[in-house]
Amino acid sequence: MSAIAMQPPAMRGGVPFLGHLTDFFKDPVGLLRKGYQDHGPIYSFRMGGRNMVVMLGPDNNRFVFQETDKLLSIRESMPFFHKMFSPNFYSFAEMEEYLNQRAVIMPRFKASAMKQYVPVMAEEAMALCHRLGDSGEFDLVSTLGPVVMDIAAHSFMGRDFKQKLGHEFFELFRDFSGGMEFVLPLWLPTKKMRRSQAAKKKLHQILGDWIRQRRARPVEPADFFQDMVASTYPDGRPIPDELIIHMILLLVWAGHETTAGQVSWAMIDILQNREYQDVLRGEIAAILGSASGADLSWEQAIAMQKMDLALRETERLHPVAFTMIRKAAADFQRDGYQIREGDWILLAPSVSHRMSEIFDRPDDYDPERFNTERADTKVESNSLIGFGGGMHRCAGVNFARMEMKALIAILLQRYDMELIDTPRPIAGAGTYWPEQPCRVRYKRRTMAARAPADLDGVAAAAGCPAHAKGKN
Amino acid sequence: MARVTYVQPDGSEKTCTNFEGMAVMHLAIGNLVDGIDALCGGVRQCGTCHVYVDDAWVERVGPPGEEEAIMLDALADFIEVTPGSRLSCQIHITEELDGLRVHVPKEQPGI
Repeated sequence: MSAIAMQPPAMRGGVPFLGHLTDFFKDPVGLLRKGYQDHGPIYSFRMGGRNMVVMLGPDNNRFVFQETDKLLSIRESMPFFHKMFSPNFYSFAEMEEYLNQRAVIMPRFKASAMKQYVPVMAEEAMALCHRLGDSGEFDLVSTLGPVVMDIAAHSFMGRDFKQKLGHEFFELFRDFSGGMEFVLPLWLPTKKMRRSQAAKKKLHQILGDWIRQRRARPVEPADFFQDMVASTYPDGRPIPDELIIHMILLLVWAGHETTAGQVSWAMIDILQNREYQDVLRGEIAAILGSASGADLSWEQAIAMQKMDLALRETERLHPVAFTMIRKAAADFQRDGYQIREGDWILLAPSVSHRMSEIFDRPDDYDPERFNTERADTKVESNSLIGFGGGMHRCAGVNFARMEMKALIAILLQRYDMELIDTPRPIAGAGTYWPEQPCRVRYKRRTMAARAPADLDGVAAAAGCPAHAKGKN
Repeated sequence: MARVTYVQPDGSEKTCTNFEGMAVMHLAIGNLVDGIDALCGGVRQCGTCHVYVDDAWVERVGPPGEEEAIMLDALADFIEVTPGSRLSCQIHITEELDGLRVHVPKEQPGI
């Protein structure tokens, strides 16, 4: 450690008091990229009274993941979260409470637990196909967003909930999500805030009723919601209804806000890259044959490895969570720079994912860069961070990847599609969605009759332990 | 990239590759490696992601952290804990760990 550490280089420009606040909210990724071009992987800028220190690249990513809850705190990083949920909830609760709450959620999101959700994902994707018919146009975010919500409602609250309350729930949820506010003080009674709080109240009522109903009349076999209602803390204490409601709202909110954008970007990337689209179509045809997507199985989805590569490449090029924020809990030095307690630390997947030191031809779409079977694959650990990392890595990563896979596979199998509008990211500092309208023209494909691949063989080849051992 | 090989009690192996911000546990779960349960999801609360780090790697991986060591101590009543024992959720994968081998135990506590 050097005796005198320097301040991280500061971005020039900005205005008194506000600093780069307005630049950040106009074009955050543009500002973050400029900082990197001018100053390298560690630099700072001011936003209002806050000193923001940006850290880029795999080693800084690793540092932030490993130091969260130690040198760095995540608890104060999303003030709107307190208002949408509760100050004692999840990442923002005291450590022990966070650990307990996470332990309730995690077992339900393991890759192997996805088996029960694939049929739900396929059913909702097929319902979309029926609504779309044989040909026409649709807008990506406004069409796929509700499907993501349907999958969440159906998977987490149950089929009966979705059938009864699906539409009302979606409307309320949209207002509730409007409470995600980065710019204005949260005590301001803005229309958006008032609506979000009113929606929160109603959602709590609906879910509270739903919990009571499920307690009175449990469903068998238990679905996700029944499991949540019955779940306890690791030490056996029952979980208060209020907390179950927060957890369900968190899962639906976090899953919707991000997946709707990410799956839309994935479609855009595939439609813009004809060559890889053909590779994916070939894979889908080999695995599903001409069978309808309604019968998509977990084993088939697992076997779609080219689709995995495509989804990773979209995560790299268009990470919807384009920054991740922590707060320094103590003074420390990093690469010779002095960081002060209270500084805000920003990771920026949107910039790190396009560093030419890390990725060859970083602006090119090349899913095969992640193909581990290729001899020239060389992507470093901690380079791809769209789902975060370390102890706070996204709990729903396996669910999100699976639903994107199911939805895209079924749409690609069924339709020829082309983009009508030129895609570009939305302006502003919210979740990094494609700007609307971003429409697709589609037409039903004709498929020659073809048998699906041998399932057991497919699963064993994909490394499914159950099949490899011949148990199934 | 860093490759981690998971060795099962019957000697079978699976090698998985990490590009992301993952711990040894995350990589196993994402790749459907048998025998790593991780019920608590990676917050050193359940011990069901316990692995034996291969002797050749023990030094490079390093010892458990303070809270992890307390957990491993407590687990010693239920499972065999050795000097190579680690909770795989607490081993963050870096490029220095490329080639790491871990042995999956026969049983995880409480499973």
